[in-house]
Amino acid sequence: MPTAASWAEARRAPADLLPLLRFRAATLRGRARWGAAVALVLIGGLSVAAAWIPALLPGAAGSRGGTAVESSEVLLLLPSAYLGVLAVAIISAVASAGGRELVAREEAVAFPVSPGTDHLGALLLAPLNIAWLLQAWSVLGATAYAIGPRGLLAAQVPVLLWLAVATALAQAVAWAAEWVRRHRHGAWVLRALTLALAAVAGVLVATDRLVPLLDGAPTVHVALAALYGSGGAWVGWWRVVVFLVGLGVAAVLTGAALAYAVALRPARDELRVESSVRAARPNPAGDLVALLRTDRAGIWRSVPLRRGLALLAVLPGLVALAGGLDWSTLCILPGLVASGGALLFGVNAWCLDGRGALWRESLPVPPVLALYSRALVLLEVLLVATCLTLVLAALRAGLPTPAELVAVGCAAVVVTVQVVATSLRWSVRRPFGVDLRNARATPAPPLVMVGYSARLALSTTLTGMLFTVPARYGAAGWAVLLAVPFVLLSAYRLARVARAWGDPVVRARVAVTVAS
Amino acid sequence: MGGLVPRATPWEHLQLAARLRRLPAGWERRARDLLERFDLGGAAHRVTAGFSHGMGRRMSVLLAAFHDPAVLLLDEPFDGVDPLGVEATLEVVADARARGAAVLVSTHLRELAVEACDQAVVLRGGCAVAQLSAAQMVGEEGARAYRGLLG
Repeated sequence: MPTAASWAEARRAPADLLPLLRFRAATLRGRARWGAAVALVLIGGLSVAAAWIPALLPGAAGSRGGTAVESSEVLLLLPSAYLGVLAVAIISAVASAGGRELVAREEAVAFPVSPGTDHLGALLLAPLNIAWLLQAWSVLGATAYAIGPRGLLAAQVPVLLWLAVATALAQAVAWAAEWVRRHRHGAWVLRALTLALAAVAGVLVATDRLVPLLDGAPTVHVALAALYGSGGAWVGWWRVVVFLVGLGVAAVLTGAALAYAVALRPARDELRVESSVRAARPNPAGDLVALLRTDRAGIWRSVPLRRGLALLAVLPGLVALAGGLDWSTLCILPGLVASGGALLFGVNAWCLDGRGALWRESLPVPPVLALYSRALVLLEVLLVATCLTLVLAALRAGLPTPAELVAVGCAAVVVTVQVVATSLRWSVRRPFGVDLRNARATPAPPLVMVGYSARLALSTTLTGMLFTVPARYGAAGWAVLLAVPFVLLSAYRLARVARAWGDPVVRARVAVTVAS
Repeated sequence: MGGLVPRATPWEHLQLAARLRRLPAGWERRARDLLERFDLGGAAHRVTAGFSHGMGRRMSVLLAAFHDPAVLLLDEPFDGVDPLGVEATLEVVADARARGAAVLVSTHLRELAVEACDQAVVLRGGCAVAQLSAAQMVGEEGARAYRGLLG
């Protein structure tokens, strides 16, 4: 792999991207190829719908019967929403140590994939992430609503450009963070930086200076450009468009340079953990204890998973803290955390064993016990992260009523069990051979991950929203009654997974796939 | 013979195997002995993700033989293994044969195959093309016969 940055290399990077994309596409066969095509068309269709349909809704700017108040309120929020896209893109790219890989590290060893090509690949894959897509659809929809149907196409151009620029900026920030992290004391520097940023955000929220700061965000120019475009004020529109194009190109080039710099530094954290020495513990007292220990080691000794879980536990809690969410709204948070946690590894739970899956399958243990251990570990990891989030969020939520407390607790248990059952079902049905030692790897291919995350987010958010009702109406008993059928349904699904897992052919397929 | 769980140590692999295979108390002594024979004593508590290919292969052979199985199936056990590891693997095979276990070794390395086994089955394109005694595969004569069968 060439790691020295040069103009010749830089020129080759975009040219190398196409063969890599073809290589990646060639690995899709039969139904997977059709599935990918359908998913891409669906994403494209939904994006067009998100950017257009809100402009036709009642209340949108220029709509008949709508008041200007509704759309202008949305217009005022647009700069903050655009800034939110950047924030989410940065968090996503930094958490995945520089974004997703077009070709997995092990597969890429045989090819001269330069850091520049890798950078462009990561940029290309960044939108295949449900957080990115939801943000993009939200800002496109909000812009359409605030601008109305007249001149909408021209209005959406700067917004689309901003989405691209924010992604490129986030990618550059992610490479910079990875470059710092790979320094001898880089991990501590990054932790200190994160804490400092959190402290600054805390002070801004506590002193009520966050909103005035957001009002003065430079993204106000993107909103203005959207207005210029709809109103035919082309000079102002062109000025912003040209600036955004320039900023995007600069961000892509800076990101590429940083990607080369990162490639010259070893991933110290991962290498340290991978060759770490662990003190021997007493012999396990039972079969389940022995299995649990091995399954837990797979998660807690992985730097990327630990980092991802910490982020998932802390970030939604901090957002809730900053937003001062009330207890009934907190019912939605466990779903977000549980879905995020499952997407780190749970949707392909056996891949944590890697080639060891073949050895583990040779051990004489009832298959149900092995599945039970996997389910328990996933459950405890998700519950720990959820509890941390709720504790953080509760700091500003005031004293809960008993009904609110019961509803939040029930929501946490229900969505966690729901996510565990769904994740294990997917893990058994569609295993993938993935090396999760690499922070940039995902447990399934990007498009599959989009599908998984959309389905998990939808089901857990809707379930969480159901529990806000008993929380608001002070009906603790109803929250418990509501939880019972959900838990029973998840238990039934788990039992079906266990039955499938009992089939040696199914287990062999899973073990061979994740070991490949 | 399978791979290793990336984030567990060799000792943790052995603890899990001993527990699930119901090995009698005192298995630790045999485990330590095997680790030393395979030159893994110093890495017994190191996470296996950082192991070299050869170390991983040696540990896999160790795990396959640890519980004295009645059938020992080794797939390419000499792949990427250093001479000490090869010696330890051959010892494990000899021990298994001595106690009456059936040993099946799959390898491309003829010289090591004839050292490990009595009978050799030559496969070409997934089909058995010959079954010979290991003695017929020894030396230059054996090498010629082997090449001829693969040819």
